[in-house]
Amino acid sequence: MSAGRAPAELPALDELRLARDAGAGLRIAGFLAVPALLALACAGLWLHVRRQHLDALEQPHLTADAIRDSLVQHLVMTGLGAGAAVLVGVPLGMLAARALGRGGGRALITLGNVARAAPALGVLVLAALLVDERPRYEAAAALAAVAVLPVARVVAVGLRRVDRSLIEAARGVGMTRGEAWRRISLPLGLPAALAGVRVALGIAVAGAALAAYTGAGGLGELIRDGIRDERDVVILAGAVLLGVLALALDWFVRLAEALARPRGT
Amino acid sequence: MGFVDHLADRWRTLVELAGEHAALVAIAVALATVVALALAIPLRRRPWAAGVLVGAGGALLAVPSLATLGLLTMVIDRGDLAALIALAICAVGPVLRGAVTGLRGVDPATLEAASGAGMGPGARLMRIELPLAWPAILAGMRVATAITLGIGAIAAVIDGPGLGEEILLGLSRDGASDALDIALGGVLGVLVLGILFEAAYALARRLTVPRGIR
Amino acid sequence: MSGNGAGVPAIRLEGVTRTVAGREEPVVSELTLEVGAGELVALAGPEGSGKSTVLRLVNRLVEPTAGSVVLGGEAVAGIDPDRLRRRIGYLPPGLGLFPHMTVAQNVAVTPRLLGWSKERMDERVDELLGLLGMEPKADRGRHPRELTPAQAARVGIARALAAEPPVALLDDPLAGLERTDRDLLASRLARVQARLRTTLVVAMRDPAEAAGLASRVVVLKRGKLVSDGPSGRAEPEPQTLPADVPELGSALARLALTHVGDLEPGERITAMETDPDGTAEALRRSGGRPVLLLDIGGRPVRWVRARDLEPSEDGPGGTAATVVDDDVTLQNALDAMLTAGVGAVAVVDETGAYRGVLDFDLVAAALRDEPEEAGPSAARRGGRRRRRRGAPE
Repeated sequence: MSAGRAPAELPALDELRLARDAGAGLRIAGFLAVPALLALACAGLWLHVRRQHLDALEQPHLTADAIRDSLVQHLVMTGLGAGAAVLVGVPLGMLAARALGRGGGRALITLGNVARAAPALGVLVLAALLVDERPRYEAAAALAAVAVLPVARVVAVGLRRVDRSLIEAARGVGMTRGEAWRRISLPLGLPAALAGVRVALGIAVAGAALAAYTGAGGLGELIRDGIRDERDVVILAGAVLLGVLALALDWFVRLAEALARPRGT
Repeated sequence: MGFVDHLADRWRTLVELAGEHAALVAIAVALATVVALALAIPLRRRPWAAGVLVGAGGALLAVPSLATLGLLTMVIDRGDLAALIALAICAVGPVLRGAVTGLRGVDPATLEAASGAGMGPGARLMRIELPLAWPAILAGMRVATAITLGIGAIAAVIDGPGLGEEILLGLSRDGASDALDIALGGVLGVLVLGILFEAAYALARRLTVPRGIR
Repeated sequence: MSGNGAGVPAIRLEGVTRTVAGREEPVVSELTLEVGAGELVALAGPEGSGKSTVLRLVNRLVEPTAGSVVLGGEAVAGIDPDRLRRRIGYLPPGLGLFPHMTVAQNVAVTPRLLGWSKERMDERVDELLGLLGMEPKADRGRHPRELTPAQAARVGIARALAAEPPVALLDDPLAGLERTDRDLLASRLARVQARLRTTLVVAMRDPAEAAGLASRVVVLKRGKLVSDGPSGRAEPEPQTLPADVPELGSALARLALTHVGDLEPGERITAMETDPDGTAEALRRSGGRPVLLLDIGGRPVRWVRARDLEPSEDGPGGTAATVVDDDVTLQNALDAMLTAGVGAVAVVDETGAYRGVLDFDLVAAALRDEPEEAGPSAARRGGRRRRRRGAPE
């Protein structure tokens, strides 16, 4: 692998293995670096905003109270939307995983993929036009509807690795149904379910930002108003906070996925 | 006025916006594919690079597109250009994942056979590695296309092109009798594009993936 | 051959050492080895003995830490690696067939790089597939995943030999095959080598099995040469069979390494299927033994006895004829005889036309005699046995 040797050479197996270990170390390092980078981004934003002279269009968005309110609104929409999508989508994906083994798998993958094209903005707008009562809950319901099929898809694909013959083998060596579930299905299926959680949170956190356009609030309001009023510092604050929130959520689920992954896979 | 009459009425506008939307997505995915291959090909023999590239691509996808779009409007004045770049950034992740998986999935014995047959690095890449990685790259492009189609609607919030215009128009007419029809037309338009792209990818797979690895 | 003078070895390794970072013991240690032009050498040794590395040193897939590799009098270090590799056939361990290419494209990969014409490539592909016992017409358009392991190994060998290289290196081409397939392909490979006169180095794990392929076996262990067969062995006559199986030396082992084509088939009374009178006449002459019926193309159809000619409701009576061609081993032919229920199989030529009959007596006679080879081959066998006992493996 080293650059010093003849370029025509392919790496020997030992050399590859060493390099792969180095790769794992690098990945762990990168994993640990994420929280630090996110904290750094927040600190940088804070320093930057403090140094600005804020005008009347900027000031109201950037008080601690306003930002806290936006953040809470955002988290409520994200949590409700993703939670509902997980509650429906994960069992749906588990059911679909069985169909995957048989014939209908291709159709399901295609359906899940087309569903990813559903525009969150459009579904949010439709929900707002249809109900027009409590924007935050409508938004959460819309996000759940957008996320549910992609969640089911990623769960079904992840579960494909859990071969049914494994369960049968476990039953064959004398495990009860409950034991087989606890010792085979759960450890092998948990990473797939967590992947579903990650997809749900990703779609919900990004979609909740668009809910600002239907009057549901959230961090998207900063970006919307910043663009409208042409105030870069407001856009910057909204974008950085939104990005940090999304990456932090993603990081937490990835951490859980890494911990839940059975050794040897 | 029913939804069908509405569609008949606004047919031309919808087709025009759908064309813009499709073009925006297609260019963004093409751009993302070029970037992903430009990263994945030179780094395909570096074992550390696989995790780093896939992780970085996943992070790009995890950042909400409105945040990316907002940041881009600070430096780019043209709405369509900012939207295009925001979409391309979202699309890089899935394509990168496909390219890394595909290129690293090539059997080492196959590579050694290619070298042993007298292929130089360039011939090996073009005749062996890329053809074998192509199904995975294509699958990544397919996922990227679906995701950017959905995200593409937000281009309208910065006056970018596409069916998002129709969705926001419906929102702005909240209370009017045709508001829902207009927004629904935009949403369904995106889904129809999704089905058409899906069919196009199925066809592309049939036509471009060699029979031996289909 | 490569046009070099008779005295120049095709391959020469001079004190070659190869060390790898992170490993104390060298993969190959001060190895000196010569392979003569047109020679067939088996390189044997367990996993990690360095035999793969030796092959890869020759075509510069890896570089020596010390020492030099000389190919036909020219140091390989001075040759552009890609050009060098187009001159050397190579089959990596695990075959490494290109899954997205057809059999023909796989075989023609180096000829294409060398810019051969399409006609010449097609011709070469068909020739090699035929030599290796595949069906060029039917098999050239198939893809690797449609092949059995034995067929895949044949394609891999054909690919290594495609560009008419003076030297070819095969890294464990028979790995993963079943015993009978290994024996079949080993004898086939030896015959192809004798015919093409390619300098061939074949790495294999098992020294005993390597001895079944080549009469010179070089055994490696932990990168060092442990034993080497007599390098000055008599060149085999082009048509001589490599059936001098040592050690496995029982008659039964010879069954797997002798082919129908090596025997003269016997005569039997035949008749045309479409000619009942002729059939009746033939049955009278045969004295109770079954008569072989041929179709109008001269191809064997079935065996009949007198009672089979009586009218019956089940259509034509008799036993369907089992046919074998020259490339079938005696072992498989014997198997066919036992299951056919007639105690004989019909031998056919390439067109499927009748050439004669093989029965138990002929096979038994062939195993008993082992003609003209007895002297020298017995001596060689003795030598090899001593070597093997000396080897620590």
